[in-house]
Amino acid sequence: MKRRVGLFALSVGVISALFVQVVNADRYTSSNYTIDASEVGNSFGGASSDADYKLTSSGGESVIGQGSGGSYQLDSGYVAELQSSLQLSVQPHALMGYYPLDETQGSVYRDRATSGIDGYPIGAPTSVAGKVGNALSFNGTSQLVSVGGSAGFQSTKHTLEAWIKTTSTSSTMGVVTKGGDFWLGIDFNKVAIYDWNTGTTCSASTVSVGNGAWHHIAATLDSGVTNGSLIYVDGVQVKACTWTQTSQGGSTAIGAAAASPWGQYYNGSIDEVKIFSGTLSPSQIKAEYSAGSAGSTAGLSFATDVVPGISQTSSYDAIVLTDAPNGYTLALSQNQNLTKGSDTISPVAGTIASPLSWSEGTTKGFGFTLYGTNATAIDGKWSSGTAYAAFPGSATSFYTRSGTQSAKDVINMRLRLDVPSTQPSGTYTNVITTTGTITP
Amino acid sequence: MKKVLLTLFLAVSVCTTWATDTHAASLKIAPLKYETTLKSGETKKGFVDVSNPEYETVKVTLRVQSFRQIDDDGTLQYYPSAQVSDGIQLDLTSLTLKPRSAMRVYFLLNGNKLPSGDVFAAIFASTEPSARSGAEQSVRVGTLIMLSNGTPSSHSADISFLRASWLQLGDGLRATVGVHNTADERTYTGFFPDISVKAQPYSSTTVKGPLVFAGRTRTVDYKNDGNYFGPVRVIANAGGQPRSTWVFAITGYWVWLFPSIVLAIVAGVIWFRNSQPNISFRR
Repeated sequence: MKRRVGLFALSVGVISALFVQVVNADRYTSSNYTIDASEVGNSFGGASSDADYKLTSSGGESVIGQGSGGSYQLDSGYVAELQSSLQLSVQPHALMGYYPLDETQGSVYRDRATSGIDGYPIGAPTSVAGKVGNALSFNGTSQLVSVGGSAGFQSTKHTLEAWIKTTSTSSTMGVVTKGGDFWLGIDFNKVAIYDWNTGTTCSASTVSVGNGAWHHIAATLDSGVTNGSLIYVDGVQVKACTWTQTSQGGSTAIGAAAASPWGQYYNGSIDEVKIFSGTLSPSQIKAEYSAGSAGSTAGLSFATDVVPGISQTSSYDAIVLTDAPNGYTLALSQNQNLTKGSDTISPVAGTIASPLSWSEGTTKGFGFTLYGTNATAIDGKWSSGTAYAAFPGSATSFYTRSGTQSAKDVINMRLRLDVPSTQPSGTYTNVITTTGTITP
Repeated sequence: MKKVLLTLFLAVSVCTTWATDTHAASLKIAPLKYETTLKSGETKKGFVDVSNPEYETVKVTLRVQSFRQIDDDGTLQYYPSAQVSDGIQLDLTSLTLKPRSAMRVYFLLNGNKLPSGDVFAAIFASTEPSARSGAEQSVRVGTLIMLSNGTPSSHSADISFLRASWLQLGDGLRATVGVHNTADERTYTGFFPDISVKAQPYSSTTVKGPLVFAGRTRTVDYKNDGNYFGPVRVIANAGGQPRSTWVFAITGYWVWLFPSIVLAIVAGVIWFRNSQPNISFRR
């Protein structure tokens, strides 16, 4: 075994030596083993079999040979260790936390947004069949998922969403809550939010959800705005409330009221919990409901029906993490125009070099704009997100960041669509690709 | 009435959908670039590490594309090139990454198959979109490959402009230099020119320029912090015809020393004048 490891080590060193000008002695580590490119070498590419490279650690991790050239897979533990790297993510705009609650084992419920604020069970809620994949069932007396302390989900605006299933109850139950901040739950079978400022509960008095069926509940919260916070049930707005947060520093929980001690335990099933740092539009809430109803995790969409003359928008964030010393470049492309059979939706006339202002009712087609970033000021040609460009067929750079950044860069993108009245109906598809590289 | 009804019908029947996955689609790649030289007919082997930062299994596609600059802002365009793809052979073109796992994928640079001279390419790893309707999202990350294959391309650059404020105040000298690759735009060659900037009579520095493709002009910011005072001639040279400009510098400690000296002189003159006895003329 030692000999095999030695051969493996030797191979990496030789290959590294071929590219000494770039591949600096990278050191990849996990909790169970280390591969240090400065100390090992080999001549991968021979007739060696997978077994020649396979390393199995005491922790069960393995290096699995794949491909004739000796490529190999590094199981969990390496991702965070890669240096001189670039990570690119795209996700719906302002998504701070997303908990599908699909895990059937283990003690962590992963945040599938890039915030990485994972949830940890208290009182062992059980995995059950959910609305989309699996869900968690809570007993109403002692079970919840704690999703982070005071630092997470801080914003003056929120959208909260979840799919819930419960039976008739005469109690108050928290679904997704943060102490002093947001509270979306059930108050005597009615969907409700809690105003921490006045200590009052605002519920959708006409809609009962305690019938043992799955329901999509959502709230868009705008702190301090009179009747500016809206409650939705199954994609339909059912109540306008006034909500004011008193703190952004409380704990967050799924299935209970976030307080010390925990309380208002939920009795029933919860699935697909999402927390946004902004308020989604009614059409976006409707789309979320529609996606879940169809058993899909897909969300954040243009309204299902695009009415000619009334443009639809949708936003997403491109998130970059890199230690590149000279910055990075983002590029965009699409594989085709939005297409349904032989019908297509044309791109807008603007280009990345010369985006054009969107004229509502006049501009037709599909385009994008760049409307904000936490890293650098956006180029003036985008007119603060009012000028739109078509997606090019070849990946073309649209945003460059110079220098080294020390934190996560978030670039806000908005898509916009309008169609002529002669556009045939149907579902149009394409693939939009966001590309990240260093800046040469 | 018929027209109104027809319009109404069209308005509600025109449907299209757009959807993105609610969860983040992510990929990570390392290293970020390879810069190397291939002798004629030489082959070299390298690798890229592609990792999945998320907690869901993703399908990843790997491919090679060429890239070029398409304007003077440095805008890059990536495009397929059969010859370059043939000359950069990937060990794997598709793979599945489990949550939080990484794959080291080897590739072979083949000097016999690559175009001679400058080669600019990228190895891309992209996610396979999981949504099945509307405008689907994919993320793609790339390692840039910048190499010279066989006989090197000839490179030459000129300074196309040199801009500097005539009065330089602050931490040091500042200027903006435009460097132009004089090769024919159609050759798709490029290089990182060395730009020599002299601040006569004080100092000389060499600035590593950005990648400049044939026919393109890129802008470089020249910064030379230091204590400068008086007229300075700034000269920039990228190998061709140099350009120069005169500035008057008050930088570094001169920013406070110079006014102090002036104040001291003025104060001295005033004191001297005030200290002199009044001269009266008597008849």
